[in-house]
Amino acid sequence: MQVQAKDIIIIVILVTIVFLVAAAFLLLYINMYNNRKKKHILEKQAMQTTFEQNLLQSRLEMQEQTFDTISQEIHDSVGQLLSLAKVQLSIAEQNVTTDKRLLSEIKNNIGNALNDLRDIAKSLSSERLHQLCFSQAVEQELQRMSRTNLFEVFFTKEGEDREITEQKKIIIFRILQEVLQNILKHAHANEVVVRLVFHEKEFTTDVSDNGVGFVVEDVNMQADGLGLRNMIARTSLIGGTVSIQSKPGYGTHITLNIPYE
Amino acid sequence: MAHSIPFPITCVFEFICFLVSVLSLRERNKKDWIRYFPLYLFFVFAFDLYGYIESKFIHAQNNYWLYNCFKLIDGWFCFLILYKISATYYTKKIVYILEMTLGASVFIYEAITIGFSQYFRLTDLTNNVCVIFSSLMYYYYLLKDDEMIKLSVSTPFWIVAGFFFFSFGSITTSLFFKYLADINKQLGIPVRYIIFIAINLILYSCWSYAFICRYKQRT
Repeated sequence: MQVQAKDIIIIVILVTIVFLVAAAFLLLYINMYNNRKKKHILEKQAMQTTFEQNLLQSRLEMQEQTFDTISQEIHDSVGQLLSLAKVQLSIAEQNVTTDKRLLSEIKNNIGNALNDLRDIAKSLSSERLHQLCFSQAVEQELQRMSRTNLFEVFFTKEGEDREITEQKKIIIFRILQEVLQNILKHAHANEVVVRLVFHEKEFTTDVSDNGVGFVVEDVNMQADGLGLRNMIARTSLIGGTVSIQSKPGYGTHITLNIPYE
Repeated sequence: MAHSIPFPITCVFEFICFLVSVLSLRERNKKDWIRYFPLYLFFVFAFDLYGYIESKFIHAQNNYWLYNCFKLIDGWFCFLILYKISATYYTKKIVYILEMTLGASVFIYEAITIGFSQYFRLTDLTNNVCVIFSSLMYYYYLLKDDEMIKLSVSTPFWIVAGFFFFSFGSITTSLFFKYLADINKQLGIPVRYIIFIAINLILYSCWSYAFICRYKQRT
């Protein structure tokens, strides 16, 4: 009995100790795992903060570029029209008799200036972007561009419009505006084709022109290439990709692939 | 060998833990599960003290009936607390009801088959297994959750840790209960008593620390 009792005592004590040690290790493991989880959450938060900072930075940069565009457009179109109207009004002032034709011209010029101002306001308004779906916003922007009569615009859409987050919509729309502005300023194109394709998980925005084209690598290396590099950086910020194909004399083809989520 | 009833040192741990709970949980929220603890600890302390006095001075034949009834209430309390703590992560009332029903069923079964003059070993084991299961469920959901928690100062974590250690540690004594009772009777070696001192020390240390954590979070 005594030997058996000793055995039982040893077994009970040992098993209890083993159980307690196992429990302690389990809690230790839980604590370690929790610490790792905490680290992971902190890293995720840091990444999220960086992402938001980059996004904000991009929006600020785009805002800055947009201001430049407004200033240029006001100077080139609205400013010219209003200056002309002013000169015409001075002439009309000097004339004793009322020149109906001149007054009608002044009226037209002021009307055109007002239309241009409205177009500029529309193209800049984020509110308008919120109200429209992406393809509608693109279509309106292209109509505005075509009114410059500098090139002919062709627009096609494949698939049904899908919901795109506001952030993405604004960024991609501003990128597209920048692409169109570049065509307007540098490409000397007379034909621009814009194609929107809504796939299942992503959408493609395709812009091609028949302008002078350029050597992609060269532009990337130059200070002028900042716009292209920004475009690539902003697209990757919203999880998308950009493909730029261009050759001197053969126009430019830019493709943006953006995931919905 | 003479079989003497040693003073239950666990009463001292229980009383200290009770004092800590009273001092730390003074301004507790009425909806907070932790408010049950001072009352429960006082009940456990008074119960253990009464059990000792009864065996030592009233010379009752045995007080297993008292501890058997206590086991049932104790089990229900543990299930309730674990259910309330786990409710932060998941609400599975069915688990709580099943555990309570299982504990009560085994208790009734033992009451019918072996009577109140014997220790309800199976009830004890069932309670322990259920508590371990609920504790592991809590830990599983705690790790699965996305919220960031500092475990070293988390009150629920330490409360469950106390339950977990106690249940894990007392499983062996429940399994070998008969042998240990014989050994105690014949050789006077209170193995179960010694083990219980150790696991009660761990249990009440974890709980006291949990109450202090709650107190520190409040102030």
